Amino acid sequence: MYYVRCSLKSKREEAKDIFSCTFSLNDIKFLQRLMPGRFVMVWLPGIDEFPLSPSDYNVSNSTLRLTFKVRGLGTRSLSSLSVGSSIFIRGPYGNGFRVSKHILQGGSKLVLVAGGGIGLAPLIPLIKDLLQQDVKLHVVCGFRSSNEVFFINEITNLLGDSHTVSTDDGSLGVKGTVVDVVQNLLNKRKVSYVYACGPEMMLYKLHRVLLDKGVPHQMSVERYVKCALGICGACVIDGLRLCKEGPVFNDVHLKGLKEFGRYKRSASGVREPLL
Amino acid sequence: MDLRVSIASLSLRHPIMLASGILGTTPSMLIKAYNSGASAVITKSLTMSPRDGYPNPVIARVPCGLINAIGLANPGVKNYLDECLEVKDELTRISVIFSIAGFSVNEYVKVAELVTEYGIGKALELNLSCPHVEETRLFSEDPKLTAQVVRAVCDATSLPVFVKVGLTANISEVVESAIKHGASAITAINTIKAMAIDIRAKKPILAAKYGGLSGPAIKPIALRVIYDLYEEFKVPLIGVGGISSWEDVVEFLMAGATAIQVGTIVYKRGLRVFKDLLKGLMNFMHNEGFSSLKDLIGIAH
Ligand SMILES: Cc1cc2nc3c(=O)[nH]c(=O)nc-3n(C[C@H](O)[C@H](O)[C@H](O)COP(=O)(O)OP(=O)(O)OC[C@H]3O[C@@H](n4cnc5c(N)ncnc54)[C@H](O)[C@@H]3O)c2cc1C
Ligand SMILES: Cc1cc2nc3c(=O)[nH]c(=O)nc-3n(C[C@H](O)[C@H](O)[C@H](O)COP(=O)(O)O)c2cc1C
Ligand code: FES
Repeated sequence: MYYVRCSLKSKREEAKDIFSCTFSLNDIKFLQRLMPGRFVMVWLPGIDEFPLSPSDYNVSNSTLRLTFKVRGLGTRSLSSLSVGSSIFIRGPYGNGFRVSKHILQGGSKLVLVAGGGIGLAPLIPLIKDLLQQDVKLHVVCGFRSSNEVFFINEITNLLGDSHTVSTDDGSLGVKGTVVDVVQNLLNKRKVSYVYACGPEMMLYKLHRVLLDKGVPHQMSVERYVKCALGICGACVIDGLRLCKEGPVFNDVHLKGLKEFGRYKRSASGVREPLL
Repeated sequence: MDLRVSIASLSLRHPIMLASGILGTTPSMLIKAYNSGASAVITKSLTMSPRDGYPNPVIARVPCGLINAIGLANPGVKNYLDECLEVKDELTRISVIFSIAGFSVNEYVKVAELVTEYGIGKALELNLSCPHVEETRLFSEDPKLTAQVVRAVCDATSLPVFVKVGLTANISEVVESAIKHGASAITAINTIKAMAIDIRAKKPILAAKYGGLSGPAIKPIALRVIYDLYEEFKVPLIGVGGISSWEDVVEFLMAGATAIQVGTIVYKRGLRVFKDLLKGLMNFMHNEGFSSLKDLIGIAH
C-alpha cells in the first residue's frame, strides 16, 4: 500500500487562513512511524500533492491532525473539505526532531521551543514528547499580529504559564519577534537546547544568535518537495536532501549550509532570494 | 586491477556513473555524488528556459520500481551554469556530463552552445527520449529528426556527444542515424511509458497520468537492448535501466556496455550504492581472474 486513505472527522478555523483538520485512518503502522517533525505527503487527487508536518497524532484512537496556512490551491482545497470526505497521504518521511536525555542534559537548565507563525504547528508533538522527559521547558510562540495567533489554549493546557506569546506589532503578548524573546531569555536564564520552526529568516537569525552563545539547536526547514523519496533533487539544500536528511537539521548541519537563510528554490529549481 | 574506461575523450576511473535526473538539479549534489564514488555525474536534463514540470504527484512507487513524470523540471541552462560557476574549480575536476533536452532542433543547439561556452562539462548527453514529454519523445522515435538534432549539435560543440535513446520499435534505426551524424556514444535506455492507479482514490496517481517506469522492472529489457546494440554497432554503449546490484553491473558489461549508469537504486540505497557496486565488481573480477575491465566487456557474445 502506497497511499493511506484518511477521512475528515472535524475541522476548525484556528485564526485567519489557518485551519486544523483532524482525520481518522486505518493504519496503525503509519501512525507508529510518525515522529515529531517528520512529514507526510498530502494528496488531493486531481488537485495537488504537498508536504505537511502533522500537528498531532494519536495511535490509540487512529487520528492525525494537520494544521496549515492557506497559501494556494492545495491548502485552500484542503481547508474547504467537508466532514466525511477523504484525502490520501504517503510517508511519513524525513528525520524529525531528536529528543534524548543525552541531547538535553543540563539539569536545571531550560529547554526552549520556538515557533514562528504556522511553524508552531509541527512543534506540538515535540512539546508533548519533551513533557515526557525530565526537563524544564519553555515555549515561545511568535506571530505577526493578534489575528494570526492560534494554539494558545492548547499550549496553556500543556504547559501552564511556561510560555511566552509575542507579536511583531505588539497587538498581543510581548511586542517583538521570536528572536527578540529568545535573546531576552538567553540573557536571563541558562538554556541547554533550542528547537525551532518558522519562517526561514527567523530561523536564520535565531541560528546566528544561538551559535554566538554556543547553544545547540535543531530547526525544521522548508523547501519545495516533489518525490519525497530522495531521488529527484528538488529539495536539496547544498549537499543535503530535505526529504531524507531533513526537514529537521541540527546546528552542525545548518552552520555548513550556504543556502540556509539565503535562497529557496521554486518548482523548477531556480534559486530565489529569501525575503 | 584496471577499471578505467574511456568513452570518446572522456576517461573515467571506473564504469559506474549517476544517471540523468537523479538528484542532479543542483551542482552541489553532483559534487556530492561524485565524492560518494560515481565516476561521472550527469545533470538533470536542461532546457533553454526554466520549467516547473508537471504538478505533484510526480512519482509513484510500484513493487518493481518507480514511475516518474517530473516533466523535465529544471532551472534552465543559464541559471544552472551560473550556479556551476560558483563551484567551477570543483566541477572541472570531476567528470560532469550535461544532459540537454529541447522542443526544437534549434533549442538543443542553443543549450549545447551555452554549455560548451561555459567550459564546465566534459561531454553532452542528448535526452531524445523522455517518455512523458511528448515533444522530446518524438525526437527519438523518428530517425530523421534524430539525424537533424545530432548533426546540428555536433556542429555546434567541441564536446563529445552521447545520445540517450528510449525503447522504441525502431531503436536500431534511431541509433544508426545518431551514430552516422556524429554521436560518440549511445546511452540506453530511458524510462518506459507506464501508469499506476490508486484503487481507493480511483484515479491515476501521477498528475500527468502517464510516467516513465524505471528500476528492476526494466532491467532485463535494458540488458537486451545493450546486447542487441553491441552486435550491431561499434560505438561505446552506456547501459542504464534497473541496475541494482553488482551482478547487474557485470551483466551489462558482459552484454557490451562500456559503462553503466544508476538511477532508481539511489532511492533504496542512497549514495553509498556507488562504493558497494564497485566493491562487488572488483571482487568478482578478482575471483574470476579478470585484471582489466576491457576483457569483460561484451564477453557474453
Ligand atoms: C517538510 C515540510 C513540512 C511542512 N509542514 C507544514 C505545516 O505543517 N503546515 C503548513 O501550513 N505548511 C507546511 N509546509 C508548507 C506547505 O507544504 C505549503 O504551504 C504548501 O505546499 C502550499 O501549497 P499550496 O498548494 O496551497 O500552494 P501553492 O500555490 O502551490 O504554492 C504556494 C507556495 O507554497 C510552497 N509550496 C507549494 N508546493 C510545495 C511543495 N510541494 N513543497 C514545498 N513547498 C511547496 C511554495 O513556496 C509556493 O511558492 C511544510 C513544508 C515542508 C517542506
Ligand atoms: C526521478 C527521475 C528523473 C529522471 N529524469 C531524467 C532526465 O531528466 N533526463 C534523462 O535523460 N533521464 C531521466 N531519467 C531516466 C534515468 O536517467 C534512467 O534512464 C532511468 O531511470 C532508468 O535507470 P534506473 O532504472 O537505474 O533508474 C529520470 C529517472 C527518474 C527516476
Ligand atoms: S523531494 Fe527530496 S529528493 Fe525529491
